[in-house]
Amino acid sequence: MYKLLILMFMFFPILGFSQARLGFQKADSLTYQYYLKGEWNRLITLSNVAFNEGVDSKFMRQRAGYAYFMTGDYTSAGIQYEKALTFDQHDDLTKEYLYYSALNSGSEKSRFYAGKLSAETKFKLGIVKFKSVDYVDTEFSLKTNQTTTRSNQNYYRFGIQSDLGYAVSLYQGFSYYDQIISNVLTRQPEYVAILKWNLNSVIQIKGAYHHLFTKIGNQSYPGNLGLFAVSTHINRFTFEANASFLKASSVTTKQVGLQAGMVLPGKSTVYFTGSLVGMSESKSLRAIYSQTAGLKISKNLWTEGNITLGNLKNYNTFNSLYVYNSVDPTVFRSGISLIYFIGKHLSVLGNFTFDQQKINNSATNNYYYQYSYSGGLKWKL
Amino acid sequence: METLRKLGLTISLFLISFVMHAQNITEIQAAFSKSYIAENQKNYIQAIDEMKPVYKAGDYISNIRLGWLNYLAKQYGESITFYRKAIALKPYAIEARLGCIKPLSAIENWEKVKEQYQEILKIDPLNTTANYWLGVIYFNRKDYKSATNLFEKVVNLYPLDYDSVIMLAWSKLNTFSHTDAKLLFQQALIIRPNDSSALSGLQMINKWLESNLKSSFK
Repeated sequence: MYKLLILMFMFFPILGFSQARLGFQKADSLTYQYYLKGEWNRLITLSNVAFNEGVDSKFMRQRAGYAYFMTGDYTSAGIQYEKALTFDQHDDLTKEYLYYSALNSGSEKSRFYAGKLSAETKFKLGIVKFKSVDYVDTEFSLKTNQTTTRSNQNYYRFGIQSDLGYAVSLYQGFSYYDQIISNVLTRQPEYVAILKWNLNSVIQIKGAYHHLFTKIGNQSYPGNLGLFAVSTHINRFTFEANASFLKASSVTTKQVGLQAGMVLPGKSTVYFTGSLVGMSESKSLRAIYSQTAGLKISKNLWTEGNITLGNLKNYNTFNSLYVYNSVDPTVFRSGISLIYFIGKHLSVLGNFTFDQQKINNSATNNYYYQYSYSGGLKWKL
Repeated sequence: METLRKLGLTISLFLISFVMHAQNITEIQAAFSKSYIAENQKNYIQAIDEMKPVYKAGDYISNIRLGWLNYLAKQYGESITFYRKAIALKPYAIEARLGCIKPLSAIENWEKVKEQYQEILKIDPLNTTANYWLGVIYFNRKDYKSATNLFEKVVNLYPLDYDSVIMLAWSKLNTFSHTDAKLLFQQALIIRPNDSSALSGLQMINKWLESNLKSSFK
């Protein structure tokens, strides 16, 4: 019993210290000292203790944001600068670092924040309201399989992103896909337009139109797809609700989806996104679940893995950029991507995807495997 | 007899409550007195502690006092909380809002400071402090038109107040009302001869007039 009492007395000062309140003056002056000395980790730890105590100020949020920024945790930096902005919406320093944090974390909100910068800062950084070409991208994909009746598939895409203001962007893609099935050539040129509108820093509205110029042999089977989505971005979390409608020659498909994602703290920017989709087609319903996880391996290299379960017949993803309307539906899909950033303007994408395909109209459940090798380039002006 | 008994009981109860209230008032006055002494000695934590035994959440004066003392003790979060309670108890009391502005300014929460000044101006549209400082906020945000409107109110009330006159002059200059700005800078020089801010303002106006004259002759 007395040993327990001795132990209690030994740890009593620690317990007492842990309960001592930090206070504004101490928190403010210590965070400032850590800021001057560049002790970013200590600054982050102390700031979080202070914020949990309710000790808060614009300068403390700015210092915490800068500390996260310097350690490469741009998502956390952005969250701190967002908080600093609630104290003073006209602070140019806050707005500038909020923009840089969004830019470095790959957030779609970077253009929205760019619009909030002062005229002098916009001029200094060369930011303009309207950009006919923000970036161009291209993608090539070769899909191989082991069946004798199906040839390899080829897919090409070329796209242009335009900034129609600080809050509105338009992506237009032109793609082409072909495959020979039982000696009949299927060709499918496509056009897609995706419009994104940031109502504010939290809510984004998306609309898309995708036209499929499908031709099997000499017969045309055109298809039209429309999509509407609303997404919210709050701190580390994203939520999206979307609905789309595909009217093809032979079938009409309705798709509704819910998506949720989160970014973990830390400079590796580990993120997870899960989406659940309901498909309605010819009076039958089915569900598709997709899970994505990604992280930043180094300053210039990102990787992402994904897995999709369910029958993907006429399923569309990435705001209808991709429509899975091949004759043989995919029933399982998994892939891995690597994105390498070369300098400020160029990024290179490499992807390998494994698909399990079900042979169309087969009386028995005949499946085959498909292996996709994709490469892409993106040039940001 | 029964009536007399009831009357006696009522009088007794009244006397007890009166004595208790008097005791409470004495306790509160003593606590405030001790708190003032501690404050004068710059012992703000002790000044807060003296108030605690008599503090009531529904008492306006206690909340104002604790808001002020916590501000002095640099406990800004707590200070804001007490001032907010006081504002909720007396929504038309300007002093509570002016008090709340102090800790809000200390933590640089200019959005909330702006809100409080706007609320004061809803209650008292000609409040000099609110008009002047809200004008300064707008001026710092380069919203010179809004700043001009507010400084004008103060200058109309106090034409010899140097700070308001010079701020109005600069706001007018930034809204390209050069004639008004010139008159105001000259007025500022009467109030405060050789004032560097007014002289630099007049210099800028003269340069602007010269460049305009040259361009009109080209």
